[in-house]
Parts: sequence; structure tokens; C-alpha cells
Amino acid sequence: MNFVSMAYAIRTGPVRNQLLCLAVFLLVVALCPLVMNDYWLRLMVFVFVNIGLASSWNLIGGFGGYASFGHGVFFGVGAFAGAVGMVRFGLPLPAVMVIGGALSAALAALFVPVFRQKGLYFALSTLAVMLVFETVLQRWTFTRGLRSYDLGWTLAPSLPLEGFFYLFLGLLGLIVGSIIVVVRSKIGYALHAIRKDEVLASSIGVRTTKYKAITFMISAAWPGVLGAAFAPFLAYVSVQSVFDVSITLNMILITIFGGAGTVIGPIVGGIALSIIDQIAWGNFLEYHRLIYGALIVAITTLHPGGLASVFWGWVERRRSAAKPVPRPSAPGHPPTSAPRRA
Amino acid sequence: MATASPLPAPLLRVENLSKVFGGVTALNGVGFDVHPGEVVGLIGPNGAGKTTLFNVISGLLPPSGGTIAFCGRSIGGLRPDEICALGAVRTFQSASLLSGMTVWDNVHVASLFRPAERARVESAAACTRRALAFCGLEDCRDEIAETLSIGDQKRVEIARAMATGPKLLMTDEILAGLNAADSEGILHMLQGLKREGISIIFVEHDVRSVMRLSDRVVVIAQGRKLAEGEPDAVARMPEVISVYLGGRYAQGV
Amino acid sequence: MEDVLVYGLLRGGIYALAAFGFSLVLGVIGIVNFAHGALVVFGGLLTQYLAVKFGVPYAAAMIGGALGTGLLGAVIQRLFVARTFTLEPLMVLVQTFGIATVVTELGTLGWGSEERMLRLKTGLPPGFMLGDTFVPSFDLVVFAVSLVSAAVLFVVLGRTEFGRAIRACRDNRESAQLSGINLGRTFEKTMFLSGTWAGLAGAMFVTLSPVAPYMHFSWTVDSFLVITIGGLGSMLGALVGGLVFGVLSFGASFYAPTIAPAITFGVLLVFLVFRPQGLLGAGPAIRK
Repeated sequence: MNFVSMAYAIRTGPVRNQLLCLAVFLLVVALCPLVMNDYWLRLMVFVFVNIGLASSWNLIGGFGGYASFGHGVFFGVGAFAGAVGMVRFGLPLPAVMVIGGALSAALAALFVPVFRQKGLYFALSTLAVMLVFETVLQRWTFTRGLRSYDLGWTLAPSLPLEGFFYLFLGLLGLIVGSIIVVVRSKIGYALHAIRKDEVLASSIGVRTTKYKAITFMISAAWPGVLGAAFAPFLAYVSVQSVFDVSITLNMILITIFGGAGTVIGPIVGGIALSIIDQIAWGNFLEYHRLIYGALIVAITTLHPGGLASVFWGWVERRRSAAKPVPRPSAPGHPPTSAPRRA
Repeated sequence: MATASPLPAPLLRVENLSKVFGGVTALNGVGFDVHPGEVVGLIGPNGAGKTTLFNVISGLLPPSGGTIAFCGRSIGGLRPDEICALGAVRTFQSASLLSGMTVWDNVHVASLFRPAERARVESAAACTRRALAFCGLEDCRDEIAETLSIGDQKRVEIARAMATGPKLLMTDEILAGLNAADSEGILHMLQGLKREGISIIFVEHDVRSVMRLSDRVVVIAQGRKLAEGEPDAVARMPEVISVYLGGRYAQGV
Repeated sequence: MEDVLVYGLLRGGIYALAAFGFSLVLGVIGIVNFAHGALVVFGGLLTQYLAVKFGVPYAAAMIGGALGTGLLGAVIQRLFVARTFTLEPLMVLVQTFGIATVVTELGTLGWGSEERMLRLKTGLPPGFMLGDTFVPSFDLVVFAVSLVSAAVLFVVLGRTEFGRAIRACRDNRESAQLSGINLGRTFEKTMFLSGTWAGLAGAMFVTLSPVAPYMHFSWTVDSFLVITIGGLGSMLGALVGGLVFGVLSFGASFYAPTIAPAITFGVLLVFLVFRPQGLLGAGPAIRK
């Protein structure tokens, strides 16, 4: 079995194969602390968080086709849940992670009325909600927004660095695993139909609003969990640090760069962009944002499917080169691949 | 009049239906019945309101006035998925397969989202298999749907509609763009559906196919019902000939 | 209260001007242009640059700034959006966001990131009293100019061949194509018009308030708010929405400055949920 047919088998095979593949990947990465120093381990944690966030965004934005431009709000809410829960109420880390996820999912549930509108309304109202939350948390004394002397929250790191490494690696595994399962489930079918043609989807019996809402809640819950776990790692939580617009942008960029609507996309995109990021920060600090913007434009204009589509295109070509006649009963009709508006 | 014979209660009853867009009246007081197991042909010139009628019946557009009753229940204003769950399903004028999905998956979507009482009787996979077998698509179930020939793509659309378990199928120009052989195949399939007791509303430009398949024909023009009756009778009505059929067909009959 | 109304309306003219192009592009090309705010800011800074650096008289600098922005819009359409607008809408959102970032960063590299303003010596009296409200005469002149340029846009869209082609593409793309309209060219012209009026809004705003590259996103969001309030795809809606939004945002920052953004976005959400077609818009379309 060569590489091409193996990749194809994993992609089209049963869910079990994909989960197995994920487990192997996680096991290999789990060996990293043996050979890496603290700088690289910290960096890896950031990469895990970025990939986890992007994968969550990908569920609603990539698979569902509803771009959330305020997804950072769920991470921020989670981080504040973690900070307030641990500092003010002395809760343990697992508890605040559950609370962060639940709060984010509950917040996502408030979007159900907006889901009846077109996608762009959704995009902008998510953005609006993020800005509202940013303002509220900045002013609210309960979250230490307005106090002049103790803006933000300082947390004692509750785990050693290796502990955080494995915590976030485990979370990443859960997130990606859950997405693999969801995408192959009934919800995944509904999402595909919604993304391709929502009118058609509802005409063949898909309760579109319901499935969009479920997806958005899952997609919001994971950033909430990640945010809560991230609070003690960051050691200092404030509106500026966890509600930055760049958190949302990173989710979108990583997903699109790797390939929206594919499981592997955010993983590939997260790794590739982290490498680019390291080089860009090191050498062209001044042009950092410019490089990011130019990359977005280049990938969306030239290769809207992202790196994953480049790879799968190559796999498809290799496969069709191997067996040239897929189906003899459809002669004389060239495949139509005109892009259609969803 | 078709209603003179003692038929069972209508499956679909459209009464005095109207639809207004902004100031443009697209449908104006349209009414007709569809009985169980009946094929009703719906013809009319371009822009007559046929597709708007389908959009309103299938729940994509709310009616501006009038009533639509399906199985004795008013469905005006329900969501498309609710209407589909009750058993009225439609196809679209432009090819509307879910791109990037295999034939199996295209049909399977519909099987998966059947209402619970139908899902209990037959598993989703069995339902998909049955629909594919009925439409002669078993051999290409793993092909990507949009790479098939146009004729096979239309078969996938019918298979998908079938998989929802409909009592009423509304086809919107399903023969458009097909060659003679493919058209013939689709017509055979529709006749097979009729034998299974499924009612069909058949919108088509090819008048000969409409006349062949339909038990009854409804003619609409400019948003109003112009005529209704048995195919041969409708074909001889002078007002229908002048508005739509043209002299050639009348001479042919 | 009268103060809020007067100052809000005066600002609202500029918001309406900025939103026209956003609404036009959404209606005709069917995309949400996230780079729209970047165009507004670009227009303002270009005008300021022409006036300060080259000493061009303000009126000429304003026209130069507006046309330059229009050109940038057309270039963006030809090089980038033309390749992607038929794909999923998500791609264009992300793509235009990237373009906004690039334009903003290039602007920052060229002109610096600081806030700039163009103070004009007009020789006008400072203002007059309307009841108990002081009305600054310069703001009133800017308001009048925005209304005039709105009227010009209405005439361009309504009375010229150019406008007819654009409206035909908006109402029915297929039949516009069948009647011999070149879609690609029409879309470029649409983006040119959109950019020109965005640039005009920026050129006027820079005479009243400071403008800096980082503000591009809030202009995009404000344009969206305006057409959400006024109604999608309606030029008159954008005008009414602009004026309403001007009063709303000025009122919010006047009465409750700390939570002003929360108030304006709260109103947005109310509109999205209860009246998604806005004050004057048509009903929702069938296909997404």
C-alpha cells in the first residue's frame, strides 16, 4: 500500500481509521518534551491552542459555511470564566474548563434567531456581539474592568509547563476527534447540504436552523474550554489580552490557509503559519501584519481550497493516473465542475 | 370537470392562492386539487408563475393570500423542511445536486432526515439503497454526483426526492436539456412512481410529455389559472391554444 | 436633545455617503466588501496628503482623493474579487478582509499610523444659533455637500447608461448578460463608484475629525450598521439609515459614553432579529 492510496483510504474510510490516525499523530507529538526546551514547549502550547481554536471555527465557518467574525468572544469568555472562577471562587481547573465551555455554548444559543437570516448577517452580528462583550467586560467591576488599581486578573500557574503541554495536547485531541465524529454523523450531512445549497437542504427535509444552532454551540463550546484552560497558562488575563481581534483573525486565517471544511485543514494551516510566523517575527517584525494580510489575499485568490486542496488534488491526480477509467457507462459527457454559488 | 367523478379527498388542495412581490402579482387566485395517485401536468408560458407556485407550495415563499391544504392540513407558512416531512417534495429547475458529494451521499442526506415515524419503519441505508435501485443508480453510487451525465444527474434528483418518502412529488422542468433517450427513461421512472401511488405535479415545457403522462392538466398564464381538464380536452381549448400551445400542436392532435 | 439631533444628523450625512458604496456592491456584485472601510480611510488620507504635501486646493484634493479611491476599488475588483465572487461568500469575506489589512498596512508604511486631520480656513462665520443649539456652519456645509453628492449618485444610477447597466445586473444578472451587458466591466464600474463615494466620505470626514489607518474596520462595521438600519439594497434606505445611525451613535456617546458601542450594536441586534429588512428594504431573497 503506497502513500497515496493510504491517504485516500484514511480520508474515505470509516471514522475509526481517522481517529486511529489522529491518535498516532498525538502520540508522536507527545514525545516532544523529551527533546525540546522550555521555549519550544511554550511555543507548542500556543500552536495547540491556535489549531484547537481554528478547528472549532472550522466547524461552523468551514463545514457549515457560516463565517463567525466574533469567534474570539468565546475564547475570551472562557478565559474570563477561568480567571474569575479560579481567583475569586477558588475553583479547580477542570471545573472552570467545564464552566467556560458551558457559558460559551449558552452564549452561542442566543444566536438562534440570527440563523434564520443570511450568512452575512450572521457574520456581522457575531462581530457585533464580540464588540459588545469587550465593552461590557471592560466596564464591569465584577470582571475587574473598571478598578483603577487591579485591571485584569493575575493567576498562579496551576501546572508545570509539561503539564500544560499535555493538557492542551489532550484538549486538541478531543477537539479534533469530536470534529471527526461530528462531520461523519448526521450533523455532518446536514452541514454539507447547508453549505452547498441551504434552500435545497431545507426542501429535502433538513431542519437547517436546528443543525446550524447545534453546530455553532459545539463550535463555541471548545474555545470556551480552551480559554478557561489558557487563563492559568497565560498567568494574566485582561480584556486586552484575550479579546484581541487578532484571535478571531488567526482562527479564520489558519483555517482558510490549511483548507476550510476539511478536518486536516486547520492542523496543516496551524503548523504552516506557525513556521511562517516564527520567520516573520524574527526577520520582518515591521511587516508582520502585512505579510499576514498578503497571505490571506494570495491563498483566497489563487487557491481558495487552501493547502489541503493542493494535497488532495495531487492525490486525486495520482489515483486517476493509476486507474484511468472510473465509469464506462457515462460516455460523451465531460465532468462539469463550474463553481456554484452556495 | 375532473371533480365531478367520486374521487377520494384531495391530497393537495390549493385555493385562491396569490403571491405578490413588491407590487408585482406573480400568482392571482390560483386554485386546483391533486388527488392521491394522480399526475397533474402544469403548463404555461415562461413567467406564468409555475415556479413561484412551487416555491409557495414547498414553503420557500410565504403566500400573500389563499390557502394550501396538504392531507387536509393547512401548510401555508410552514417551513420547507416541515412540508417535506409531511410528504410533499420538489425538484429544482437548475440542477441542484450537492457538489463534492457522491451519488450515495446525495440521496442519503434525504434518507437521514426523514421524520421519525418513517425512519422507524426502514433504516436510512435501506431507504437510500431502495431509491438508488429504483432509479437504476446502483452502479454509480460512489461517483461524485456532478460528474455524471445530465440524464443521470436528473435520476439522482428523483432518487433523492424519493428517499424523503413523498406522497406528492413536484418536478420543475425535469426533462429540460435531456436527449430523447434520457427523457424517455425519466418518464418511465415517473410512471413507476405513479404506480407506487405517489402523486405528481409535473411542470414541463415539452407539451407532448405532459399530455402523455398527466391525468389532468392545469394551464396557468400571467399568474391566473386559464384552464383545467383532461389532457385532450385542454389541448383543444381555443384559449389555451392561442396563449400557449400555438397552432402546430393543435393540428397534430 | 436638540443638540444630539442636530449633530447626529450632520454626521449622518457622511455615514450615508460611506454606506452607499457598501450597499451598492452588496446589491450588484453580491459580496460583503470588508475592505470598504479601508477605502473610506484611504480616501481621507489621500485627500489630506494631496492638500498638505502638494498644496492642492481642498476641492481639487477631495475630488482627487475620491477618484483615486475609486480607482483602487476597481483594481481590487479586477485583480482579486473577480476571481472569487462566484465561490462561496465566505471566501470573499475573508479575501476582502485580507485586502483591507494589506491596504491598511501599506498606508501605515507610507503615511504613518498617526491620526491626521485637515483643518480648512474657510472664512465662514463659526456658526449660528438654532433655538438653543449652536450649529457650526462648517459642519453644515459638509452636510450639504454630502447631500449634493448623494443626489449626484442617484442621478448617475438612475439616469445614465452606466447606471442602467449596474441596475440591470443587480435586478437580474442572467438577463442582463443576455442583453449584452459585460458583467466583469460592470462590476469594475460598480466598485469604482463604490470606492469613489467611499473616498468622498473619507475626504469630508478628515476635515471634521482625525483619520488613521487603524480606523478602517470601524468604518466597515458602521457602513454595515447603516444599511442594516436603512435596508439592504436600497439607496434611499442607506441615506435614511445614515442619518438615523448618526443620531443614534452621537446620542449614545453623548448620554452614555462608556457603553456607546454596546448600545449601537444592541440596536443592530434588535434590527437583525426583528426587522432584518431594515426600515426601507425589500423582503429577504430566496437563495442565500
